[in-house]
Amino acid sequence: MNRCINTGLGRGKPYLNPVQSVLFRQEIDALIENQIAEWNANVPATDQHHRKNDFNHPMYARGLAETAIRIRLLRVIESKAISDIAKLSPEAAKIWAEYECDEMLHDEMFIQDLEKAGTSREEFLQIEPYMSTKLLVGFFSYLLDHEGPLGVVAYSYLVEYVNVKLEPEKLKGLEAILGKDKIAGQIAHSHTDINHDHPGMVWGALRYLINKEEDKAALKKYLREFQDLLAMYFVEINNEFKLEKVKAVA
Amino acid sequence: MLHTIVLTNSAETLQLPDKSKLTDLSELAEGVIPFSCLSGICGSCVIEVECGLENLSEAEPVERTFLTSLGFAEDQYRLACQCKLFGPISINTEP
Repeated sequence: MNRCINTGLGRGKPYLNPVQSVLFRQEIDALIENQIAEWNANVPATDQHHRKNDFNHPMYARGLAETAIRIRLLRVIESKAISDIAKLSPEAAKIWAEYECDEMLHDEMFIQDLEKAGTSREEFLQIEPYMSTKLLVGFFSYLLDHEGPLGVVAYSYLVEYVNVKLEPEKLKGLEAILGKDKIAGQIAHSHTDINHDHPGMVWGALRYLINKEEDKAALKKYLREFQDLLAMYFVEINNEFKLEKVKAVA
Repeated sequence: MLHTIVLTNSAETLQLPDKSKLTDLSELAEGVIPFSCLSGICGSCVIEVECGLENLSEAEPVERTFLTSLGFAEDQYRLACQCKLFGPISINTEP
């Protein structure tokens, strides 16, 4: 008898072999592409970078602040996730730790741009997170306690995929409105995501956490749930700045 | 897209998807490449690339320095855990 479990020691080969992993990733990427199309059609206040003539500076600054806050909050729960991941797959935990190492201080990049947008660090510290951000962080806690770390890692895959796909165009628009110097932090952040292949890195961790067909179905469901939570944030910030009439949330 | 990896020391031929890490070979044939740290710092996974060196991701300076310290200074030696695959190669996993 050996009562010692949850060590990640008895693992075999990954459920998805290298080819199956590539094919399933293509399926997930196609699903995210559909979600992006839905997002663009239904979620308000996502096109600020195209609004050169009526760019809302206070809303832009508030968005930067929320991004930095979100990074600060999620890095805590994502660090907790490492211990849960290590119990299942030390290989995934290693990749996840490397990813967190890359991401851990990325709030600073957004805070640098926030200062250039006119919000001091002291003012930033007085900003409370939106309810949608609190719910997102709370959802992560729920996932770790009751469903496992797959959902936490799935969130990062969604965010990294979308960032690499959409951020360059967004930054191009912001550069035309604000100038390159004002968005240097965001440009540096985008470089990191792309040059370190963060989507590939996170997928590498996800692959080790998919151990049955139900996990594949769960991953798809998590992507939908995170899209709904992130859309809530855009509704919230839109309502604060009354940019446009809120349409249906995706 | 799949790329062919010929293991010259064991006369095996395996395939991995584009951009795979070479250490993924161990999932196809257990023990084919010994590895430990997967971070390029232990030296367990030294291989000799006999053909197709250009089909692997380039070695970072830190990898070259470490390989040199292990006595594998020439370009054809690599740490498998630091290699991403972009085309067909032939390797000796027991240099």
